[in-house]
Amino acid sequence: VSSVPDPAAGPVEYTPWLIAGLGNPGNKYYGTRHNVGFEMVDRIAAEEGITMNTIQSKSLLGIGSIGEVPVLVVKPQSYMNYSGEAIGPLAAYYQVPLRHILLIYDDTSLPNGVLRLQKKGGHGRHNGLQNVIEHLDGRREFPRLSIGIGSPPGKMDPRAFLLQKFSSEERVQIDTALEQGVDAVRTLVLKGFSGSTERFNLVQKYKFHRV
Amino acid sequence: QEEPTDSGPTRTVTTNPAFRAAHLRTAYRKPVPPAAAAGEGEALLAADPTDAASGRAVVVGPSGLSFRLPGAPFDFQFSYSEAPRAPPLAIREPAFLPFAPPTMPRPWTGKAPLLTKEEKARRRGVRLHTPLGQETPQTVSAHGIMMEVRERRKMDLARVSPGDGRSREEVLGEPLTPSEVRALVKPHISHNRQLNIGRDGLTHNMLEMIHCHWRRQEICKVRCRGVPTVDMKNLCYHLEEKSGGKVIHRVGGVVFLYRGRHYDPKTRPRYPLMLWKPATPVYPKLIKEAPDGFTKEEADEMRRKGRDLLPICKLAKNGIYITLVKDVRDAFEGSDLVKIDCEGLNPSDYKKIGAKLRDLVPCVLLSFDDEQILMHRGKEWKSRYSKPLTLIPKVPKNNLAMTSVMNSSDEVSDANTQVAIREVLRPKMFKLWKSAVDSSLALLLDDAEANNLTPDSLLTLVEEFSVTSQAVEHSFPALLVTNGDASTDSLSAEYMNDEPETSVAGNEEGQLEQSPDLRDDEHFDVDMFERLESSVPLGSLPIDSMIERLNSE
Repeated sequence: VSSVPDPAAGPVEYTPWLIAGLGNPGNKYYGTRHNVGFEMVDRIAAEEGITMNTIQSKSLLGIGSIGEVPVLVVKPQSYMNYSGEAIGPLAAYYQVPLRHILLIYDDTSLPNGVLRLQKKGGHGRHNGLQNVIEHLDGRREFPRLSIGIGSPPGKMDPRAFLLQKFSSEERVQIDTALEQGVDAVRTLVLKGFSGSTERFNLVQKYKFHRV
Repeated sequence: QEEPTDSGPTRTVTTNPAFRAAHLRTAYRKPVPPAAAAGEGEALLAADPTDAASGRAVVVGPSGLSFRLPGAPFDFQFSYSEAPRAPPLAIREPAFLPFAPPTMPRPWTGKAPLLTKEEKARRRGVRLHTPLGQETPQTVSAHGIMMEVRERRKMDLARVSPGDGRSREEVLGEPLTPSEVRALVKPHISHNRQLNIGRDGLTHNMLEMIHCHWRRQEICKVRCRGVPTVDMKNLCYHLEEKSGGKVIHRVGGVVFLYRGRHYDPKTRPRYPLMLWKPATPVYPKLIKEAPDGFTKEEADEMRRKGRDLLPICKLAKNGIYITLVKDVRDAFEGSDLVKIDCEGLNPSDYKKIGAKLRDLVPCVLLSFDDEQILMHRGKEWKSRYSKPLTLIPKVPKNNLAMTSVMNSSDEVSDANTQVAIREVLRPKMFKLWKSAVDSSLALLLDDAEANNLTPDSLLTLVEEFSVTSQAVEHSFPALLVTNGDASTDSLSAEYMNDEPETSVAGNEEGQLEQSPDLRDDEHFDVDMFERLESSVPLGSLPIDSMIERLNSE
């Protein structure tokens, strides 16, 4: 169970979750494929009524709760390749255990608009994730929500593809995916990893394979 | 049920049927007897009367075409693992036994295998020394005295022997322990001294190859690619059954076959080799106009819909398809039609894959058009889940959370009044957040500022703030030491010990001076205070005397 009350602490206190979306700061990168983690975090904050109004350790964060569970919503403002510098100290300061750090990032190995929730995993050649893992003492056992953005077409440079904005039909797919993602994150925070997470992944994997 | 075929008498004539060999596009087609075609019994077809008398026959039955020899432990087939499940409709070749001449009324038109290095040396046959205790043989040739000449060993291609009569369990002995398995498998993992299995599956002649491997080593590594990897369980079953070994390890398409503790290469079972590939019989069509359970119109409608369906995966030629069955089953959870892209595969390959999926998933095959397999999950499909997927929808926020957030954002200074409410909700995290804001480790934006934040302005804010917060993080209250050296030593040692916590420690210390009312809060980082108190009694530090003096002033 994910958010079990800690028996040592007060009567009803849930272990907090740190929900961090990865992306690059600045207008230059706003709305690009690589910044899809920011969009997801914005969506979660808006749905749950969390105001992101604090700047701490190079990131914008807001504290609030989903249901009874306290959550910390974080948008690192250090550049993508140094995301760990923002997230590592925050996790240490707010004493969030590793199993409650949910990282939201873009994934080229999934088709556009497909989500996947995992308990743990590797970095998958994602520089932001690589840096976060580095700053969490090389631990990879934190939950992650990867948002598929598709792979670069033809011989396109993958870096150029990542820093492109979505095309209009891709944007529609991403928007619906973000909506489903908010529900998934809520379920994860309240219920933890269970059979429904696996099923969510399955539904997501084959959601475009229907007539 | 034996019936002499018409090829029997013509064999003696100079126009031998072997030179009119059947091929794939041949017009030869002979329906099998109705009992065999219905899959109920098997029909024996004999090549000629002498064969029939001695018990050699071609069997057409539910398992396809097989060959029965006297003394053989089982009926031989061209492929053991890949035979279609359906009984054949017709045969495309006169009933021949594809083995060596005694059983085969057809001259051998093939080529002898090339000699190996040892065989060449043996044929040359010159041994330059005599083994001790033997007389020198006196053979004289044109080149002088030849000491010994050996012929190439005659291979008895037609020999059938079921082995030495020991059962499979006796040969295998007691099961291997995991450590033994590891020790046996380890040297073979990265070697390619292996048996390759392709689209034909486990063929008859591979049994001989497995036994050849087993002459020299206890393990035979079998590497499988292509069609048979769809159903590895079936392949492993046939490998074990037909060779008499045991599969001790399997990773993906690589199988390690153990020969058994008491295996003896001298008394192993011997089967004749197949010198020809027998022609594949005619099987019923996989795609029907109206598949079972559907009318033709429904099927056509589904085929039309399937045209613009996205394929779930693209199969590689001679790839490993181990997860294919699971993937198709998963995809059926979401959609009733599933398509697999088989571009570049041989048509026979994707037809074989389709037939396997039909039995294993199970599903109804609709078409193989455009090198794609289109399937429907069938009428009696049942979801593996009892309930539809439900995610927790948006919950209405309770008031406590809202007020606390509001309070925290605009009035931090007199948060003491609201402490009780926050205690219930999220005491620890809120306190940490508040202390961060107080100690200017974090910057709190007001509402207007937070609302019209553009990414660029946010970035500049963060960069500006990171400079100031760096100063806060790395500045510590000075320690003036006048009392004694011992206490400072212990203190500095403490700081040295826990490097990562120094910044936090510094902040907490600053906290202690700024807001003394927090001191009685026992939740607030108790261990920090304990550590300080353990080294120095409270109020004995030089800074405390300074504060007292300032307060009095």
